[in-house]
Amino acid sequence: MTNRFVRSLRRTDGRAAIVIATTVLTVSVLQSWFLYRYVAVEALEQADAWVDHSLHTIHREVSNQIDPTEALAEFGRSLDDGQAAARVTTRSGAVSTWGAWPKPEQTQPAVTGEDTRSLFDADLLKPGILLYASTSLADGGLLEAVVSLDPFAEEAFEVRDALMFFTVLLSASGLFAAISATFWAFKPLRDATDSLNHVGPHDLSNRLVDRGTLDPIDRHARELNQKLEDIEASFARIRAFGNEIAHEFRTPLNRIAMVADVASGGTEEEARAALSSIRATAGDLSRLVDSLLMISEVENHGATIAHQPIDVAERLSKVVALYEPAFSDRDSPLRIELSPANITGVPELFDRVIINLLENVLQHTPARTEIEVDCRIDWGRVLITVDDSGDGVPGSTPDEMNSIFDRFARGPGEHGQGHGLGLALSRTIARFHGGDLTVDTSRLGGARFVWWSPLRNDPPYTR
Amino acid sequence: MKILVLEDDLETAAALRVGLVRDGHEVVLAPDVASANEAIYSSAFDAAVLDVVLPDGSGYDVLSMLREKLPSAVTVMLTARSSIEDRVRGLDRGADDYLIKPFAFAELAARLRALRRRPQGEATNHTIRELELDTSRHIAAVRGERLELTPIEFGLLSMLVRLRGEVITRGELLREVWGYDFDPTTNVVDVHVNRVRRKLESQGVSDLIRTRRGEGYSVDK
Repeated sequence: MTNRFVRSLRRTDGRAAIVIATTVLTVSVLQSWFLYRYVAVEALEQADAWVDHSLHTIHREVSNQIDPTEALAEFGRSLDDGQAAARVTTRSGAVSTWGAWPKPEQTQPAVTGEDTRSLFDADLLKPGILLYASTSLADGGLLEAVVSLDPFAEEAFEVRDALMFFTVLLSASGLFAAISATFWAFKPLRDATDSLNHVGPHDLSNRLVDRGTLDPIDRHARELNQKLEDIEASFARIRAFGNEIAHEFRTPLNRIAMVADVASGGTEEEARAALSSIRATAGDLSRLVDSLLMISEVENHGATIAHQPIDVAERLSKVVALYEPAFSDRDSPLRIELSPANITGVPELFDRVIINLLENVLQHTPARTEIEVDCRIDWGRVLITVDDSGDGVPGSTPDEMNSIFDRFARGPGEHGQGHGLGLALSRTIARFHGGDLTVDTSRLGGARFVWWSPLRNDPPYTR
Repeated sequence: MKILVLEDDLETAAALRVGLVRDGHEVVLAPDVASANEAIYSSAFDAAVLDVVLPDGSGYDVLSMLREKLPSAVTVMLTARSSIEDRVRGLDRGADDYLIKPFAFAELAARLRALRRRPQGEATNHTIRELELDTSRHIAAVRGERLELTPIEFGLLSMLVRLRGEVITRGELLREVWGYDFDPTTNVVDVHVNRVRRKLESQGVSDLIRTRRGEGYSVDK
């Protein structure tokens, strides 16, 4: 899986390099193309002007009955290789030519007067081509002149060759830059992926390389590392949870085996006592399983359980009525103050939380402990509190105190009494109802359990 | 009565058979849905004890079949999961009662007996020693003199008296009298039972309710 990711990542490097190199190549080719065109058109326009100038000079000479040979030679000399020619066709058809008149396919019309050249005319700039222009004479004859493009083209060709050289150079360096840049840019990601290769179900401790910069890859690495941190922590919790469950089961199972062993060689009365002990242990184990299953049911399938309106005060007073005699038997004054409040939830689960809280107080506080059960609406939430004047919850910080909600949490010196799941289940239920259950120090001196829940019809329970 | 027991765990099934036969019932065991359906077609039953999770299907399928074929048979579902929805579903589909595994055998026996009696109408007047109970009018009296009990206390006493001879667990008392489904780790139920005892004793009825250590309470026959 991860190896496939690395391979596709390497392909990504290649793709990125190709994209960058192609862009550089295209841009440099286009740029050269435009530059050359511009230079070529410039040359053509110079040639156009030269043809125009020579045509007018010859026209003047011919009009003045002067032999233009001298003037043509002058143009030719100015053109270095003397490629210039002129001819006059009279009305009667007599042709007089000065210089070497070229073949028609060697000529191209010049652009003179108002007209201008476009960039596409650059293709006309070829060796051996002559520009052609003509004008009518006063006596009805036609004066034509041609001038070689070569001297003008030469310069443009030099520019073209230089541009081609630079294009190749630029493309090559663009390709090199692209490859090295992508290699360099993706290196942290590749390193990160390589380190991911070592993360597996057996070792979650590896982390991605994070150079601590604001680079996006580092930021992603940090985010991913945080996720890995969370996953590792929850893995550790699951492992610990598995261990704890196994330990929870071991003691009662050993007890069953031991009791059965001893009873098998004993009297009938002993066997009867052993059976009753085994039955009690089995009941204890099934309570443990029930609590575990209930926690997982609420956590995993909670969303499918139908919610109903709950009259908090009514249900609270019913549970308190169950516990009132137990408290009064040990001279624990139980005060109860209930304001009308409604929430939405599962009544059976609601009762379970209150039962667990009161069982907890009954189990963990001495006789004559004061107890106060209270429910009221506070800032749009329903607050249910159970206060006692007992010894309170161990721990000095809220975090330490709230660890009693951990599964299998037991106070110091607590053995055998329950499995430490009651409060864990209660918190799960409280959170499932959209609120939370926390513990604090009571003004009565002991523990104060606070369960807040959204008021009825408050989101997210309008459904 | 003739009882169909649908249970795939053979050890559990054998134990159920021993217990039910000892109580004077005739028992037919079915390890899966197919053989249960076969049994329902070939003979008539007065009652059925149905496990929910089975290798070849669900006990609810057998329940529907049973309701169709033998509408008068009493049914008790055995659910292994403490799933709230499971229980509701069982009662919705026409089961008469349900038990969460593992249950006290006495609980199953008592429920079967109680359910069986239900259609004919259970006796509303009970007399045991000097105590008289009228469960329809919620009146308890000792030697003709009215005993003042709270509704909860009356519920506790009448359940123990109604099922006298049976051991009733604390969890069962909580379920029947208060409607809460849990096994307490504290003495919350004992305190209520003790109050009933004290009121009985003040009227001269002592040791009516016996404590069965590690099990629950009972009233002797």
